[in-house]
Amino acid sequence: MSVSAESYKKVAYDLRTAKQIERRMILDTLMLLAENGFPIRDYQYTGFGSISFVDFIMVHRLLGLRNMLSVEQDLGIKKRVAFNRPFADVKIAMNKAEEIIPELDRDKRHILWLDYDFRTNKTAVDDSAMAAYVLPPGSILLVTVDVEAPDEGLPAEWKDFYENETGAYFDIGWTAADFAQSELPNTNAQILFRAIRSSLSKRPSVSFIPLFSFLYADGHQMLTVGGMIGTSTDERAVNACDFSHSGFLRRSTSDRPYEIKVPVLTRKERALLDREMPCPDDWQPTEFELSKDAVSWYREIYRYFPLYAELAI
Amino acid sequence: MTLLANATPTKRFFILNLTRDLSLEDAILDLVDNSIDAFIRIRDIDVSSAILKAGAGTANEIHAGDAPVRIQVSEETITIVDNCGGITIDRAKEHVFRIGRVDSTVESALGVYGIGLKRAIFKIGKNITIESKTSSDGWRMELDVDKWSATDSWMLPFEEGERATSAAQEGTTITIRNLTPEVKMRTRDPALERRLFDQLGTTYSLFLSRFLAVTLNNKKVPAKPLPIGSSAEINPVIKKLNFESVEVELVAGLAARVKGEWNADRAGWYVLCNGRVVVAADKTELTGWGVHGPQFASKYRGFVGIAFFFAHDPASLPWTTTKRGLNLESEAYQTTRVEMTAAARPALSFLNNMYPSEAAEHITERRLADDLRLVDVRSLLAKPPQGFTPKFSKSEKKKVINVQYKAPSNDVDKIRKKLNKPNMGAGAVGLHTFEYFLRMEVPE
Repeated sequence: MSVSAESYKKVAYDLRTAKQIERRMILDTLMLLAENGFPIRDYQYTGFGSISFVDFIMVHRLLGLRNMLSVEQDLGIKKRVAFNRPFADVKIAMNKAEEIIPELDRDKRHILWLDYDFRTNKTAVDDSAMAAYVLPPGSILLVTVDVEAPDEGLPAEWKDFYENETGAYFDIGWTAADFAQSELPNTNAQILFRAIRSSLSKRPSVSFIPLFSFLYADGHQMLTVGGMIGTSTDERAVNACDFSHSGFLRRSTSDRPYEIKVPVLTRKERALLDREMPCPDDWQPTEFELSKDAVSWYREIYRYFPLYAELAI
Repeated sequence: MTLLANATPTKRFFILNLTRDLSLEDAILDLVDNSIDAFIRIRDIDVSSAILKAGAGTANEIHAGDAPVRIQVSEETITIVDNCGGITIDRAKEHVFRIGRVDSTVESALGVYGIGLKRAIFKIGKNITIESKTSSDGWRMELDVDKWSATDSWMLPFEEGERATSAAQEGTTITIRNLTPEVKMRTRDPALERRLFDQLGTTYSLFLSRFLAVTLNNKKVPAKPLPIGSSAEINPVIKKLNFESVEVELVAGLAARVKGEWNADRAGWYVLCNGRVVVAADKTELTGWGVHGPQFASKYRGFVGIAFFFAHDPASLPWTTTKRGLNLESEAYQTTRVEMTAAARPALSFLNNMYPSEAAEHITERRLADDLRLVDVRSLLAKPPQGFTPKFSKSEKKKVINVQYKAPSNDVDKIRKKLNKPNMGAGAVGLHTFEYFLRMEVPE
């Protein structure tokens, strides 16, 4: 059975494999930055942990961050969130992001991940703009939004929807074609970048240093953009990092997003493939059928590809 | 012996201070005003008939696109190129660069105080090139603002150039480089282009649909129509007023709905002077809200009023020097403002009936709000920085609120019929429809 282009959509949503790959790619990049002089361990991590706190567990275990804040706006699950807090160093704020962002400590550097599960709307751009305005230089800002094309309507109507919510950050040259299904993720990325750069234009010595633009789908198609807010010194330090093995990075806001494609493979198949990774171009296993495309996708993500197992406890 | 105190203006005052009073967008609009004025002067157009009457009624037939203006804004340069007739050498020598108008002859519809051009270019940048061609002559000026402000002379040197060899060449090009730091910061903002684009469309709404054609960074600016609505059942109030040198027309009514909604952003009074929008969607005292009539409230977001002021001499119009505000001391405006409130009354009554009651205050917040007492702000400033954190009482009882609304009885009957319960109480129908939606559309 050959692995088709759509196979990455068939991965079980509750495991959210693509999201986990994205997290690991981001963490990998943070580790590289730490190796190049950025004191990542001392940064504060702020995100939307919900009840599983996956990213909190990762930044604490793998990066050693001690200062963490999870933001939750649904007061109805207050006890549940508190019950599931993974470590003592994770504080919880039962607030909306917009209430927390201006209160972030300006004497620290931050990793702030606005991991929304809705489409880009006024909240998303306003929060992103506010974050870009307050985060001190050296901080990392990430924003995730849903970029699935709506079921009904035409691009012209979707353009109206986005214009109503985020029109201030529109490029005056955009037409309905920029909101066609294939362009929607990139246009969304541009809206978010423009909101961030609009705030930064008011901070003379600080600019946006792009790092991430991920497109993935565990259910709905999602987009994560991110980068560092920094001075020219920070920019030089980032550029000095060896990103030659981080092909998933997007160092310019005009680059199209990196699409995380996950081939469906069994555990046995992965064990065999891993032995050959990183493999030469055009290599294919002889023991079973696997297309060159699937091998190539696997080579790009194998280091970050989680292995899930059931614990029979 | 008579002593003399020096009252001569300093260049520093003009360049640094006067430029503070207007925004970058307004500076660019001032330059567009000049292009429009050049066109109006050369074609001898009567502004009010040209832009208000359907079908141009002027000496020369005018068409859409007859007055093109191209604006380019980047982080390094701002350029405005027009094809509106140009400036002759004589006018450049004696009129265009004087601060203030030379004599009382009126030569423009939108240029009021004679400072628009200078204030705009000094606001925007330090190196300015102006080139103009008319059918009779042409010239070019290179101005280094810093060098010029160090000299005592108020004269600006320029050189003769080639005249226009075709109608397409008759116009003026202003190129500004070495942008001032504050302007440069604005041009770095991706949202600036959009703001400028929208403002151009609103301010010149009437001109764009007649003869003006503006492009910003090569994108055509569409006219943003004034959002007044009309129908077979409802028409707006229309009233005319005449003052000594000013003619006023008022239109007041309801806005056309967009996607079934009224938006407060578009609501309020629009005041135009010689066709140029001076204030848009104003909801403040400036246009009479809270002065002779009610304050603007959310329920009035369906209201749109338009006040047109026309005068042969733009100095008679009630606008301020930035053309973004209104001069409350103007007699014509004071009287008009009262009339504006009167003209608005019928539409506001309609809206009062449409939205009869305000939503009830939520009880938990209301209890906290009732306990607030007036406090001296100085005692607050003595405290350390703190946030706004209302402390609600611990008891998190299941909160219940009253949902009440009126519905046409026909509709309620239709629902009763559908449910096959002809005697169901209206309240029960309401509850049923509420729970139906909750169950079917809203996940747990």
